[in-house]
Amino acid sequence: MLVSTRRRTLAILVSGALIAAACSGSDSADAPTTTDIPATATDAKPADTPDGEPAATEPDEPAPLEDGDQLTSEGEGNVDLASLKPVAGGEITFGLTNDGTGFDTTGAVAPGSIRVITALNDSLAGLDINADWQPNLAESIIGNDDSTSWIITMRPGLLFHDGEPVDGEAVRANLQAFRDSPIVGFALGAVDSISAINELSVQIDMNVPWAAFPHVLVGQPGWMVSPATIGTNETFTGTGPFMLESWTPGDGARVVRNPNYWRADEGLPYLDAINFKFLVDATVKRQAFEAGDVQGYIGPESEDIVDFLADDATDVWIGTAGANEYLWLLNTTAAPFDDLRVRQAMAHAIDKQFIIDTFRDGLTVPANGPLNPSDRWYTENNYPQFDPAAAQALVDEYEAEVGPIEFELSIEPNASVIEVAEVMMSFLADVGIDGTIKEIGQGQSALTAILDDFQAFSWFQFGSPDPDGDYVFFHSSGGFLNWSNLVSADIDAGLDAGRQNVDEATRKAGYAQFLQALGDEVPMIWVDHLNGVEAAVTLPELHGIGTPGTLPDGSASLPMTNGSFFAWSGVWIEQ
Amino acid sequence: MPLVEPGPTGLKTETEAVAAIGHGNPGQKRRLGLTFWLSAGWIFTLVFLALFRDILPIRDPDELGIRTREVAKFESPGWNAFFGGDGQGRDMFARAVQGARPALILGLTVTIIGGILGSAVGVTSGYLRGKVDTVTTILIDIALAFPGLVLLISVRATFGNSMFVFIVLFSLTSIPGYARIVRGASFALSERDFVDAAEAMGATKRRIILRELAPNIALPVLSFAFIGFALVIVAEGGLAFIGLSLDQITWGKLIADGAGDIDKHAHVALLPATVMFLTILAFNLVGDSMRALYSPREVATQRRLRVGPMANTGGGDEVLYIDDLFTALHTPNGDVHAVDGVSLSLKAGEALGVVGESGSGKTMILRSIVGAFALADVTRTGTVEVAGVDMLRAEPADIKRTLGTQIGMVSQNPLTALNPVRLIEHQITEPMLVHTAMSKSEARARALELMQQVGIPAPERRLREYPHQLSGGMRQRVTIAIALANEPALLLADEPTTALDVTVQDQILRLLSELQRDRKMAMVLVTHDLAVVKGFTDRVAIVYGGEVIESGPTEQIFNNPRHRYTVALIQSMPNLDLPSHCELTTIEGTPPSLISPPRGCRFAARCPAAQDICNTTPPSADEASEHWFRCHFPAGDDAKGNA
Amino acid sequence: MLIFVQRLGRLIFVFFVVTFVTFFLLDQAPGDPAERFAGLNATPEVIEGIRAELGLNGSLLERYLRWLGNAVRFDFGDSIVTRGFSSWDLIRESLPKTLELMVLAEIMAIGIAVPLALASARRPGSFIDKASSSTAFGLLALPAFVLGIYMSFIFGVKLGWFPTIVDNLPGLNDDPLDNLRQMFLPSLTLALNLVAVYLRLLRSDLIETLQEDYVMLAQARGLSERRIMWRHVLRPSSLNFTTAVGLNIAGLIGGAFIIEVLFAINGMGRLVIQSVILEDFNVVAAVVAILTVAYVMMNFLVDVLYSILDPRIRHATR
Repeated sequence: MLVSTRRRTLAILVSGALIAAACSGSDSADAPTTTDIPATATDAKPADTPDGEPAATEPDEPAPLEDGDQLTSEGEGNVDLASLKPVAGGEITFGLTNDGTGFDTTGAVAPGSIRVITALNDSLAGLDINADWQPNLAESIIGNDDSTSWIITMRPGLLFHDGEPVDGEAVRANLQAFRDSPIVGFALGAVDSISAINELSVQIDMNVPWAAFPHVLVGQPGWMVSPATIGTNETFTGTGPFMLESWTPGDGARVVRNPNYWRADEGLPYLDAINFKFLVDATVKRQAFEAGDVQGYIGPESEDIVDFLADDATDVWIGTAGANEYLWLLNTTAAPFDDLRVRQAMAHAIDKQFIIDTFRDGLTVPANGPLNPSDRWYTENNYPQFDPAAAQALVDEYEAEVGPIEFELSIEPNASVIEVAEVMMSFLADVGIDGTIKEIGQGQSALTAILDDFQAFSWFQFGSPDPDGDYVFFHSSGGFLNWSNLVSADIDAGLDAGRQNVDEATRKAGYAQFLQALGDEVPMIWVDHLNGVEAAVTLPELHGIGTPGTLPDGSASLPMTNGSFFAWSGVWIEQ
Repeated sequence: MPLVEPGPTGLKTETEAVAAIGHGNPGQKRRLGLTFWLSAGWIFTLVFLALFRDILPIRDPDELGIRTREVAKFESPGWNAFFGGDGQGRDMFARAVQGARPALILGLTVTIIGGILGSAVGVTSGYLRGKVDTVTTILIDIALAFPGLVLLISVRATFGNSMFVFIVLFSLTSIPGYARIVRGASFALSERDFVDAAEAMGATKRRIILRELAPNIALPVLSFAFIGFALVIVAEGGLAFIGLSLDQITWGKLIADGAGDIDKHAHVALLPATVMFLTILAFNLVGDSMRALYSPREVATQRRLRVGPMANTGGGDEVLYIDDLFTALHTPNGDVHAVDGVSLSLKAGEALGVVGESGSGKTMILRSIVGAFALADVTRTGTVEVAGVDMLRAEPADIKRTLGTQIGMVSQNPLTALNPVRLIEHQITEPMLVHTAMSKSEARARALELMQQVGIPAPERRLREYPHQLSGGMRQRVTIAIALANEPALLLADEPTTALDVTVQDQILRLLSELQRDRKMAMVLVTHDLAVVKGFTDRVAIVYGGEVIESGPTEQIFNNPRHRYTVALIQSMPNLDLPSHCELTTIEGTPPSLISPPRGCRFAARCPAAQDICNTTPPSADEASEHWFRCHFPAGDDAKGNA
Repeated sequence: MLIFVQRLGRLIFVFFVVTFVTFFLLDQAPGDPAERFAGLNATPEVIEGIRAELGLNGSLLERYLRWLGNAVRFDFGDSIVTRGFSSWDLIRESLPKTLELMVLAEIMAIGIAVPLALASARRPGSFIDKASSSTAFGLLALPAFVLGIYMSFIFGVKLGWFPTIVDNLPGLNDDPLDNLRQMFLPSLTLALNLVAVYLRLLRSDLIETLQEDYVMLAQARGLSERRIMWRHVLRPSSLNFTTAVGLNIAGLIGGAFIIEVLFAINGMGRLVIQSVILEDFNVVAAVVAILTVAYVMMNFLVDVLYSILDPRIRHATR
């Protein structure tokens, strides 16, 4: 409910705490969730966009890999970054779309909370500019040869905000609590045991080989809070550059500089304080920015992105590594989608480019699966492309055999999403597939999907930059989390290969197999990769949001992963 | 016309004023005006479109223009799509038309159901009070205290969001509002005299509610209902904004959907909003016009006080000098010639009785002196001077000063003459505080003195009371005290005893008369009862059809009435001197219309002695003589001692 | 005194009924917060434990009575969604802002409506009457979310006079200027929506009163028009108006949701919707309880005001 066109009026929380930890829910532009693990690499460099055009939409862009995943800002794109020396001090107000529900690291953490946590937290692992994992809070994360056992070693002398030491025991307690959580524990489902082996080290044993494990530690499992406060919801006693001063549900949160930050010798963080303000309405958010009441915000609408790109007085940071996709889940265990022909006909019938041009202002790229063409794990597949004649043929065949095709699309009552769905319906109607829209309650989608109480489902998900992060939603052993209920040996084998191997070529082959199977079996109707419209807007005086920060070893970090991972420690404002 | 400054306002020139009087056309019907027809036209169009949208050549409101290429995304309003297109190229005109249906159905049914049920509850509880009221109040409280949104969300989860569910929910939630408004109104009304009167006459409670209260609360309910209609439509819009609205296209949905694009594609939200606004406005304007039609009390005429040409001025020693006064009330039905060429004059210490039936225009003579008319557009022509001040043309400040210091007025009904919500003390001291330099304590002391003079026992206490705590007679004494506050030279008494008990009538008359004689005031005593003037006035003027038809010393009028109407009036007086076998006569027929008075003698239609000439030629009179009359065939000339 | 006891009794009764009905309605809602709370793999025992912890176990009546017992001590239970905060914490944060919004909006609305109504009633059908009525209807028909966006745009974005959002609102005592500056636009938006209703009610009652004898007499006494309007006419005409204002204040405490969203105020309206949608039972029950008390008290105030405004009522009810 609570949402109308173009205005996410009260997208208060999101997709039911039940599986919030598991999926990206369905908040269209602002919904990464806890266990989304940023990975994936791109050459994130300021785009060369002299004419203010979003590079992402240029079909003849010379470097296709940059499509979508690149960062672009007409403000800083032309500025010599080196000439800008960060200055310390200052305080900003930053607009967030959603309110949080709290900071319990062992529970479902709402997107709004995650935005705030990025300022309060340093995860065990971080992402470098290639979206490969690197040790961050941890000094090292080392696996054995077959990736069945991992040892995390902490830096000496680290302290939580409350002065408690960040030692092996603290890390063990955090990981253990996460593993034991009935709500989010499945994300560490492959973990057998966790034990502190000395003052600073923790050993984690797996029940299967898990080479991609450290990627998980970039996200929620890698968040470390003071052991005594594990499970505390109203506050976050972490290790990050800022400390939580106050959180007012429904209003905002204020964080202040952590004077004992472990990277204080690097001058971090620069800002004295950040006021996070929850602004649920898109228009309100934009107006507050234009009036100077907030210095930046996340989640502008696509139309606004286009406008801001043309506006020199505003910086827009587009392109998060591994953004969500918009798609329809099809329940392959129920008619009519238990028939491959119907699924293929659906895919053939829908003109993805039309939707992108009409509703995304051309900022997104069409999707054929969960991986972006710019993703290093991406390979082509044979997902059915727009071809009404082919669709018609399949429909005719099915109808002659079985009967008319009718289905219900479950959808959260978000008018801007319904708008898109209605157009998709009109394409389907063109080939004789009769779909109706069934609005379900806000926050009911996860439950509905888990209970398989749907035929087709309007869905946003799969923002994980490393494909392993989406393992449970496709793998047949994902149980109720295998959204489409499709059991495919190819999908399972491909995902397992990606999970268990370190070797990049092997992994890539695995994911190719997975993608190929998705294209052939069509358990989902893909529309587009949303990187182009998941963005942040800032004043030109505010720096460091969309530009790379530094990891502890001095290398550049990947900015804006999944729309949530701002390196707040490196953000500064011109005085 | 209350509340327009006395003195020249409105039309400035005499010709304009004269033209204004003439312009009233007697046969004229009540006119509804352009706004009414425009509004009605809008509503008619809306209803027409809502009813026949399916067979009219209007696009399918759900048709996606971006796919059919008929309407572009966010197309601007134009010939192709009158209201433009939305983000999917859907025809906004078609959508606005589609939205008319739920708006009308929901708005009207909820307003009618909620209004009727709510009023019924409210009037019952407000009138019956006691246990009924307590129970109703608690129920209303519960209903109002319960957060509507919680109810809506819960009900919606179980019963869906169909029109029926919404009508039921909205009606339920609007009942308490109406009930509370009506309860308050009934509360106040049941204190009123007409209710007391009806009760005294043994009317049943049911009858009182239906016959006495219902008509009186109809107006406030109606004015609230038109807003209520608007509120229903607006509330639906609010629900649409939070995504809780009906399962069909509504204006609220259109506006809510378009609101996010308001800076770039304003038409998507603003055109439906305009349609909604015009509809709400149209219903209210039609409502206003209908109300004006059926409730002349609320005729929304321009209130104006205009002044026509002057007649002669007085000699200087008259306290009141009226010459050739014409007062015309411009109403939608035509001009009412309430005062038609009246001349009167009064010196200090003189008392004049003005006698006539109701509707004869006698009260309007007094109103014309003070320039206070209920609700009207009035033109006064001629001369009215009080203590040498031209009450029609002098500076407003002078007129007000004269009103406040030279004139005291006592009105017909003491029950309505006092402001029910102000303390007696404030009402008495106000004229002193406003018009003289008296301090508050001085004014209070004088108020006490006045209260004693008019014979109110325990004046100290009475000063701190409200009018409703006093009896009718006491209240009239208070109004007399107020009239006397600034030692006026002229006392205007408008039927001062009519509304009082017979026993009290005489006391009040005597009091007035004593005060008048003691203070050497000039007094105009207006009454329909000739008996009242006998003994209390020096001269009498008989008024009929807006004219003075006979005037003379009181003795002569009684002993030698000349005009046939005067004769009839005297015959209708209960007279103890008459032999008991003499039957009281009543005057047959009704007074003439003041909108189109008869051409000849105004009494001709009812006159037993009327001849042809009476219907064609107005009788003339020598107004300079002491006793004069307007009659072609006066009494006394042919049948002396008729009485 | 007796009246107060009666009132109190009535308040308590209304309170019981309303809160119980709320409990009942919430009970009907689909979904089980305990299950949601428990997570995916929770066993029935775990769910039962959580239910007990959240106070969701037992029959409806049992739960209600338990809740009532705690509510008396201002313990409304913890928020299920925003764990770590008690319902009372959330309300304490929201209520002052909403109350301020309400009071400011009512002051503005009355401040606009009363003079306009007086001017309109003085000369029905005049230009000022027609113009003010139409404008008021325009503002009424323009939903708050359209009006608010325009207000923000003009006064916030273009002119920069007022902030477009309420952020870090200082207390009215600490920094009244900043506080009022922040609350100005939301209050005005809300007020403009109310003006039409007040204007119509008051205008119509004023016109009625203007025809009373005592008004004519007041004029015959040479009193100024202004004095007559304000001292003689306004008060006897303000009963319905007062009722409407009272109802509005009570209704708006929980119903100014749209304004709260538009100006980013975490008020009671937002809290109500949010907690109902997310089935945060304890918060819903607490909010409903508070709103009920607020409403009944408001109502009482209106009745008191009634008898002040019209002495006839004062004496009749005695």
